[in-house]
Amino acid sequence: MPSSVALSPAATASPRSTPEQGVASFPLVRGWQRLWFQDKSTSPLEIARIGLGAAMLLHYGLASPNLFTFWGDSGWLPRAMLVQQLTDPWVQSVFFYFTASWQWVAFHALFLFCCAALTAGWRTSWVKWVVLIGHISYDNRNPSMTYGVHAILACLLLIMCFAPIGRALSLDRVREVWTAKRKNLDADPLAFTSPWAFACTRLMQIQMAVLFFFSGAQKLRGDEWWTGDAVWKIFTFEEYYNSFILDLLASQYWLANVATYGTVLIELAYPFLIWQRRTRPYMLVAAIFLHLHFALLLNLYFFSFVMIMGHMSFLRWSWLARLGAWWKYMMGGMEMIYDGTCGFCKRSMAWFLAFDGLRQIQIRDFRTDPSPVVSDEKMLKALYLVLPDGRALPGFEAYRYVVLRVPGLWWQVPFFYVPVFSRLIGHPLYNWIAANRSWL
Amino acid sequence: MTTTKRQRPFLAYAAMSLLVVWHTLAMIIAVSPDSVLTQAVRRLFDPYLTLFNLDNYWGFFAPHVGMGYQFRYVVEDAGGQQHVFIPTDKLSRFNPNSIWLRDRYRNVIDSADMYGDVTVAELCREHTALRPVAITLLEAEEKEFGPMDRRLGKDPLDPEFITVHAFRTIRCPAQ
Repeated sequence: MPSSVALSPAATASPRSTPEQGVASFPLVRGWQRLWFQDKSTSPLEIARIGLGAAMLLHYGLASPNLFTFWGDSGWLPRAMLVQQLTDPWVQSVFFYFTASWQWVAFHALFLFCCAALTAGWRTSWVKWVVLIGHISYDNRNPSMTYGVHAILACLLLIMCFAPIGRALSLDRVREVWTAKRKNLDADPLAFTSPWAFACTRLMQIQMAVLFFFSGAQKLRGDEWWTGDAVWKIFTFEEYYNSFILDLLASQYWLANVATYGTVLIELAYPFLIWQRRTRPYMLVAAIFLHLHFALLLNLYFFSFVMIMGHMSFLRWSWLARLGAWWKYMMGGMEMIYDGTCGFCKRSMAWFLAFDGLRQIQIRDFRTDPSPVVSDEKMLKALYLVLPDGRALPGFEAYRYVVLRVPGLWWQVPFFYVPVFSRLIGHPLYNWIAANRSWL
Repeated sequence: MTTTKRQRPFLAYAAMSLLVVWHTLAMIIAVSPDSVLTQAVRRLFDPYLTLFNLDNYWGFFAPHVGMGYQFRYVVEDAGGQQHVFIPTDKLSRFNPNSIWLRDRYRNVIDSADMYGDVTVAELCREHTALRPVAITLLEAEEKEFGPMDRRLGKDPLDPEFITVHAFRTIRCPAQ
């Protein structure tokens, strides 16, 4: 939903009142807008998208050797047996309709590809639906293997399917910026914002709050949670057995009590205090702290990571903006000087800048705006990067410097930083390209 | 009836409001305890909750933590010898598959009538080298294990803290 739908209070100031502006003047409607429909970016959801996509790629990717055992008709749950359990026509899975083994393999490959695409934000508007359908299909094909984290994933994925994700921190955004910069390198397409993005972020926040509240409330019905023994008991289970922790808790049993009560306290406090401006940072830290413990001590890595990604919906936009500004400040300014008469240079520059979401790199065409630092003779041989301290890095070294400092280019770090090898190959390759740029 | 350009944003806004209200209610109803009110509303939400797997009970280790257990099995070979296996010993906690496998073993224990035959058939294939005749499925149920027991150097899976019982013996299918 584009931002033109935003019914901000400021819009009511317009002398010519439109129907929606008229409605927006009611306090109740203004409150409703503030609650659900602020004009914001998708950034918190994008962080969750990247994390969940990567986690699912790893989770289902590692299950690939067991594809037929877990979800096949000759595996643990033959279809005939499953049919006896299924009574609800709304329980659906694509696997119910497969008849040949290649279909399992093809769908699994497509699903993994879409998980990777979701992580990278490539064609996000449709791959997110494939990931949701795939995830639900795996769950429903063998319900005997599903557990809490699969349920949480389904909830978060559905909200992401509603949301206009892929508009930031994604290859879709890179493509949008690249398209604009190919026409004009100085073009700076506005970051996507929308009231619907905020509404979906809010939905994810409510999902996490509901989950924590009921998780905490259910615990209040159990004796072990009241007596403070629950955590001790969990660590005695074969599944979560940890010799070191068990020895520690046995000698300092008060730690088991603190951990038990602390878990309930955090789960019950979270749904109430996470909404307040002052308490949100503390609740977020507490929730993440809790999940890191689950990951490290109970080995619930996948569950904990998915939960932490859900908590990312509570990241404030101002925090992300401050983080971006801090990073930009720490890395310092960077000016890339290029040859504006070279088509290849402009195209590659457009592609490079499309990944610079924080706009850390300034550009200068030495043909129209000569640099006071680097002479034109030098510029004819290579692209240069000028740093605030006056250093000028040529060609490959310029790229090498930038990829480490621009987060959108981190995926290139492995290519530029292989010891010895990167420079050995990179320098001659860059020099060859620079020398032949006129016909590339 | 056609909508004018001026009405469109308002309609979009109304549709968005409807969806967020619907989904928020669904999230709450999915987990709410049964009551006359929730049961009535549930009928409306059930297809939506089921189709998208939203119908969940967020009771992690709750209300009761429960008791620990371990799935084991005994392979009886053609010579009458018995070989005990503890499949969870082979699982790596760093591999996400291990959680799936553990859930599977739990299900075999809980619903042996349903999953027993398939599981045994698979285990017989896995242990073909032993020339298995039958497999007995076992559950080692953990008993209370306190901090004092630990301080005495005991372990939750020591024989005195578990009860092992066979819950099904199934003959291997003919190869």
